[in-house]
Amino acid sequence: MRAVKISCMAIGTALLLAALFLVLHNVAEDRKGGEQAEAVLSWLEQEIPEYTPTETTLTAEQYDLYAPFEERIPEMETIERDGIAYIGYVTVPALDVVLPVQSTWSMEALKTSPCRYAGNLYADDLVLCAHNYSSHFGRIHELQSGDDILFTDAKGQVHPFRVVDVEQYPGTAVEDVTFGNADEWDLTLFTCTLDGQSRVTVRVEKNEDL
Amino acid sequence: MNSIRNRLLAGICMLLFVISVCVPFPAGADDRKGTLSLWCVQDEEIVSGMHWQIYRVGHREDNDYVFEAPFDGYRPTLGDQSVSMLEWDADTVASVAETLRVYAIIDKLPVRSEGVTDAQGNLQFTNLEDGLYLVIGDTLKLETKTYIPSAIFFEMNGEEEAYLNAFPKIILETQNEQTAEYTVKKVWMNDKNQPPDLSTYIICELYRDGELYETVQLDASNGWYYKWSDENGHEWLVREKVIPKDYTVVYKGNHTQYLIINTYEPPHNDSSITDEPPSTTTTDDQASDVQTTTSTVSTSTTMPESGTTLQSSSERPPTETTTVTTTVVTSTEPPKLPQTGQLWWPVPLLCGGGLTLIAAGMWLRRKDDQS
Repeated sequence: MRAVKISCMAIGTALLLAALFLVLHNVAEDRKGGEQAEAVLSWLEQEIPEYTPTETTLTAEQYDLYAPFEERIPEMETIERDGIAYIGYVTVPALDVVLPVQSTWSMEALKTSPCRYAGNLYADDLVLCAHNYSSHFGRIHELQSGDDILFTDAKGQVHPFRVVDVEQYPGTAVEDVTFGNADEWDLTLFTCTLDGQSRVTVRVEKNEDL
Repeated sequence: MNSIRNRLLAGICMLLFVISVCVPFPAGADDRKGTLSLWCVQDEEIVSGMHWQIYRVGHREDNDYVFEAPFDGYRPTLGDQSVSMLEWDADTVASVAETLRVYAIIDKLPVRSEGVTDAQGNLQFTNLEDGLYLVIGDTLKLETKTYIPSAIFFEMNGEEEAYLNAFPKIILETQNEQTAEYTVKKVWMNDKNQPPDLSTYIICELYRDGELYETVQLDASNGWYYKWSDENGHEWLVREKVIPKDYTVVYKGNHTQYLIINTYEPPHNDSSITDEPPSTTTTDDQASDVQTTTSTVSTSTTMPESGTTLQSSSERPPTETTTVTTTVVTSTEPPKLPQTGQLWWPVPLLCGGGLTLIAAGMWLRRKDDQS
């Protein structure tokens, strides 16, 4: 009887300690992710030039008659740091969040900052994913329709957007998140819910008013 | 005897001359003839040596222009048919003029008069009755400059001498290369809600200096694109021979690229069926030095080779049948979005389990103490 009593107390304490360890680990990981993103961001803000629109006058020789009819969507420019390419940074004023965005995603890359999951900013189908760290996309479920989101590309051009919808998809809904109703949004942000089963998905459209 | 006859003839001629000079014929409005003075001068730039032609197109009647032969066949298919030609805006007028220029060259319409601008950039067309004229010029290449004139409508309306300023567009280019590369591309512009209904191919006619030079087929296999080379100094025109039913066609061209755009045009109830020519409008894009020609398609078109008429998509030219073997790789595990969540779900379980076990241990301890 005594052994059972001691075992219960010991295992219970161990489980509580494990939970505590997990919480501390997650908090530390969250904080580290935030710090890494902040470090990259401060570097990126210095590296990205001030955007100056250029007007080019095309002569007849230079005028490509076919260009308007060919889908020549320019690839997004990147800035590299330690072998990692960044396409710019995303600003979410409502959450007081500014985060660099990597060109491609991997589980390791996601620990540092949000990543491009699919699409292209200039094709109006860019999809960004990030961990649900509170310092990353952990609070995007709080966004509401009309909230502003800014994306600053590697050329320094700021692209204003506004939230049009916040929804959840199961983790297997790749098509829905990546392509679903693509005509109705220009940018998508998603991250995991706390249980990890679903994805909080924020649909964003261009804000022509800004 | 001969001298008497010669004197008599000379007297008769003199009499006729005096009568012709001193007794004017009653000149009606239709008999008035004037001179069109064309000037190719802008600022200090004088374009001399440019060859121009003038075509009589029609005359004014009531509140519109009536096209005369051989242009009358084009009139029903040009520009905005819902309003008088006098109500067309400048762009439409310019585009129709460019369209007629294409037809005038390709169909070799008779020229009323032609000439070359002199050292002052001036050319005069004389003896022009009142009416509507089309004035077109040939591209002129001088050293590093190419001058491309726009087609112009001009109306003589009782003037003895009318003036027309026609300064062609100037393109600076290097003439070092002996040959130039030309391309033609076909673009489909379908309505958003329209199901895909494209012809399997189109026949494109390439005209070199107004003569049919080559007929090429554009289809999906060549990306609706054709490229050819030619020595410098020739003017090319491109025309789609068979325009798909319910489509309009737009021809755009700079001096090396030619674009054919077929845009879906839902059939109108009042559309008339004509074989030749397709209705055509032309716009002249000054900003980009690009000439644009738009054709509204007749509701039925004639096959170039067989002479049969295309009435529906099912009667379009057949395509080659290609067998495609597709290997489908099935996966039992559906693709998943990346796991972007931290491991939070065990925390409540661990806490719950731990607290439960500790509570159980405390309960057992209390029970043990009581016993």
